[in-house]
Amino acid sequence: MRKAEVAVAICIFAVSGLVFYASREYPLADLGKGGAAALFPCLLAGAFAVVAVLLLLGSIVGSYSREKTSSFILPEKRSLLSVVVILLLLLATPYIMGFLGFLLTAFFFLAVLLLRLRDKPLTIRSALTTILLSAGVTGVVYAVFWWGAKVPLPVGVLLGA
Amino acid sequence: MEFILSAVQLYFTSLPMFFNPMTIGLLLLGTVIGITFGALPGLTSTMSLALFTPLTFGLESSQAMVFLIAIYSCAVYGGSLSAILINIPGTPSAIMTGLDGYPMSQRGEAGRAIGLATIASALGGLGGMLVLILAAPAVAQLALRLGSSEYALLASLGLALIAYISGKSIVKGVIAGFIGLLIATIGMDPIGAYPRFTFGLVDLIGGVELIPALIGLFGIAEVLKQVDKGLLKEVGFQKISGILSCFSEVKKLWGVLIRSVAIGTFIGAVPGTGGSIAAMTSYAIQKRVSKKSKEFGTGLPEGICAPESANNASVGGALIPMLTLGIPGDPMTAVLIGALLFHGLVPGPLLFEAHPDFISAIFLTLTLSCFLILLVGLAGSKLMARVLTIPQYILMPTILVLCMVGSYTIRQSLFDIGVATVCGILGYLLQKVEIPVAPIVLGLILGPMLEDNFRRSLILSGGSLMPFFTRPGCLILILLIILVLFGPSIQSRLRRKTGFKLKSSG
Repeated sequence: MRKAEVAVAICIFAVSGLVFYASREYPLADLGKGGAAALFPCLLAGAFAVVAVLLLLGSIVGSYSREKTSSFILPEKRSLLSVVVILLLLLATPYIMGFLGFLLTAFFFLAVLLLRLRDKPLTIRSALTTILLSAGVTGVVYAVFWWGAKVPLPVGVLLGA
Repeated sequence: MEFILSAVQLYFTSLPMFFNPMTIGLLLLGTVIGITFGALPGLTSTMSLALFTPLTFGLESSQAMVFLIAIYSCAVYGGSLSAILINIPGTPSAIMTGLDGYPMSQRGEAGRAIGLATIASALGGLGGMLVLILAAPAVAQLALRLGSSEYALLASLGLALIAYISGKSIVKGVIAGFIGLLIATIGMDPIGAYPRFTFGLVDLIGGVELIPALIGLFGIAEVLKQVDKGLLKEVGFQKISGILSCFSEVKKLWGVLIRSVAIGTFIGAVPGTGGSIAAMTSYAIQKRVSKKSKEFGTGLPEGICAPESANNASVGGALIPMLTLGIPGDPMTAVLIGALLFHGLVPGPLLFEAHPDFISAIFLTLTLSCFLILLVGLAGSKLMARVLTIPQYILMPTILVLCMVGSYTIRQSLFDIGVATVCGILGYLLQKVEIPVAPIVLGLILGPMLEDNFRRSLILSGGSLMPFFTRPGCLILILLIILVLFGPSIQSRLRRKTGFKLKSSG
């Protein structure tokens, strides 16, 4: 039995349980009158749990799959660190953008990632290139959305005040 | 005859719109974006559609569709350029093109290979479009007769097709489909407007916005996947010459083209399949019927024309269920459904009655984009080869910024950037445990359709399930669902049996 599949099955049981638990507050009676808001989520949660059982059984028997599959593989240390940096930046973006606005946030976001993802050592020239690229890409995206698509991008508390 | 006349009339309804410089500009821009995104490894065509849908925010719905359909059609072609030049298909549908395209390129005939792929793509796209024009109005007329119980079963049929897009494991595909269905239940329920799973968040009352979710699943998740496996090293520039010399060669390949267009359109029209299956099937059939079957994979023109014309023909085919029934043919048409909903249009048979100009704009865009593929592909392939040299460490952060802005644009809400991020992380983690992302989209789109029509049908029958088993349309659909669900296992058993017989006879 593969650990990744057991973990997925446990997650599915947890989600199904949560859906059942949260659905207890929604109306279920009056199928013919349209008041059954809990009906569909409960049906889905039940079926989802059945699929988890199938996954577990399949993992034990090894017959559910058309081909042998590999399990969860962690990336190399450098790639893993890059993935973590991207995730942290993405999770922080809504908060930072609300404060700094689009222009500063996007510039900061791009500069950090360009420095992180390039595989050559940092020199004065490459640092300058990174700053210019970050500013250029931010400017182009801003122009396209602000002027081209007429989308008001966030100004932020810092500059908007 | 009357049917053909009405189809022709529908086709030309929005012709005046194409004399507007803005429309032509959007068509050209969509073509260039589509080919570029299709060609660049790591940037998928589905991602390009999800990213550029928010850019249509200020556009009129028909113009928005011109832009997006041009991206869709051209991205399918763009994948062939990188497959031929660097043996890395830009899109999954170009996998087969690389088998013969790359060896030809290694022999110094990259121009010839690109020329063949370009002409085959343009002709394939035109063939698929022709079938779309003739078939879509007829299917829409048929769909008008369906009731809510049939629609509920139609949505179930669409979900059952997950079995075909699940990749290695059907169970894992079904899990992904359920994730999509569960996400779709967040927000007000479609009948009683009762808020569900909102956790007190006002932003969730209207449900999870489709476009930010798609941007997360296809944009952010893809970037994370690329970074995870290590970014590609810089690609060297390759010289291209002799592109136009292949025109005379195409004349000898008419049979291949016609066969591949028919295969591509038919496979494209089956929901849940898409361009890659069309290309693979067409290549396999061509290899079987060809006199030079042993030379396939060594740089044969047939090996380029068959998959390229089939994958572009599948575009027209995939639009048939999407436009007439609201069922996505592949992940790209799922994003297009999201774009339609974003512009306040509901795909389905009523679209043909209420917005014929819109349907006509799609038909005309498909036609014109085929000619533009020819023009840009033949004249601009040298430039495209240069685009392939843009390093991935610049592309990936740029895509992420586009993902952020794109998610924000839909409701001008920072919350939606969070939605895209969560969906991106979910998509990335699911792919790590080999759970495919595409079925989530099917669940997201078909979930509301299924619940709404299922409950509406229950209301009409006073809570009885009998209409599902007594109406002839429902019975046909139930049979189809059973066939789809058990088809793959029957097929593999038959294949095993035949294989056994072959072995024993040999």
